[in-house]
Amino acid sequence: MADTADNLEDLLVRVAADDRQAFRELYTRSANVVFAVLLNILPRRDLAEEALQDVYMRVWRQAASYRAARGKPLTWLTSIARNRALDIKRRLGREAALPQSLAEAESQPADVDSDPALAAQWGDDAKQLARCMAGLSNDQNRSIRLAFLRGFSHSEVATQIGAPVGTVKSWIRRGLAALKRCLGQ
Amino acid sequence: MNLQNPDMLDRLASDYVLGTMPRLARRRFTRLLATDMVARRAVQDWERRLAALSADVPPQAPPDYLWSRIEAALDDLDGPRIGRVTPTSRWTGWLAAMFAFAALTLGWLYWQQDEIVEAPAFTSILQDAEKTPTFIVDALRDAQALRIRAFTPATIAQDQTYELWLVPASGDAPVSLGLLGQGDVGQLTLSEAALAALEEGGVLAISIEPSGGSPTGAPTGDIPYTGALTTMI
Repeated sequence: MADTADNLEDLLVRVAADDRQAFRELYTRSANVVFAVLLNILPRRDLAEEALQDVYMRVWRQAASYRAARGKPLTWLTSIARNRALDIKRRLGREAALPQSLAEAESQPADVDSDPALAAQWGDDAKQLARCMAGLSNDQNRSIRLAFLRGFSHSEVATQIGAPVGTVKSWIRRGLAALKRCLGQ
Repeated sequence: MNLQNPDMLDRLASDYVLGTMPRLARRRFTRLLATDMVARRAVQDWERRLAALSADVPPQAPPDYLWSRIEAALDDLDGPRIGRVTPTSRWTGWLAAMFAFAALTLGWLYWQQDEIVEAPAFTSILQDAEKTPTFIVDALRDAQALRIRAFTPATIAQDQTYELWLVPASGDAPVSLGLLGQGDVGQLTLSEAALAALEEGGVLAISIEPSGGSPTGAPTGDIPYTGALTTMI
């Protein structure tokens, strides 16, 4: 399992040296996670597909800037993906978000051990975060997930949950502060 | 808004990473990230904290044709390098997209660099004729050295080298700052003369020279990349 995580790092090193074969393998191993992250924020498939292409073009050009000390390869990849998706969503507004089931985004934390390959890619990060998320109130937990995973604004979270915007803001603020303390970093 | 206040910065960084920062504030903050290392650090910390929330999202396989499109785009990227001729029609479509993500690329590159403890004293983004940023050169205050980072420079022949020049604002002859090899040299130590010339400002240029550098002391080959020198604060 650890091999998978190591390999993503190795692959990024090879991609930085313009290794197309390594890039293909990196794509094969990570695109399904990246695509899922994009689709959650951009339910319109055409936008998510375009964003996926942008993300991997950026990965190709910027692999040399990846620093293992700054996070796991998936942290790097999904951060690029989320930034791209958020920029598109904020630019297009409602167009970007046609109605789609919210069930996935709000689903309870998956048992990361249930998919060994995936669990290995996120490593202890996922376990530790899940433990800390479980320590939040339901409202804090749900607000943070809707914002992070769906790219919802404060007011979108408020509408979804049916709470005043000010209340949502304070749930998120306190939830993040608690997470930071819990994660101890 | 006082960005010197660590709590305020931490709040903004968490808003940015969570995605709840309003659109205009997000744009402003993105610009800040391009130049402010403390802000970049704060963002990286929050990304590291929150990224694994995505571990809960069930993976979704993208359609097969997306990989083909990416491969085609990579082929196009290979096209416009120096010494090759590509049909303009294939390439122009990509220019706009390339340029758009070049801007973001810069933000990212800066975002990722954590070796420096100090803001750069000078910086220059060297672009090719298509305005694609290709090298970033910066100098740390008091470091007496230039740091060079390449995006994807053109490939040059084994017996050639890139040479970095300062074209002084005064109009004086270009001053050689050093050889960059095949674009893989990350740092150049500066002579006192070069430092003094940099203080005066000007334009940086990269020429292609025979290995060993320009035989004449002035650029002799093509000059594919140039960029204005910006003094930071």
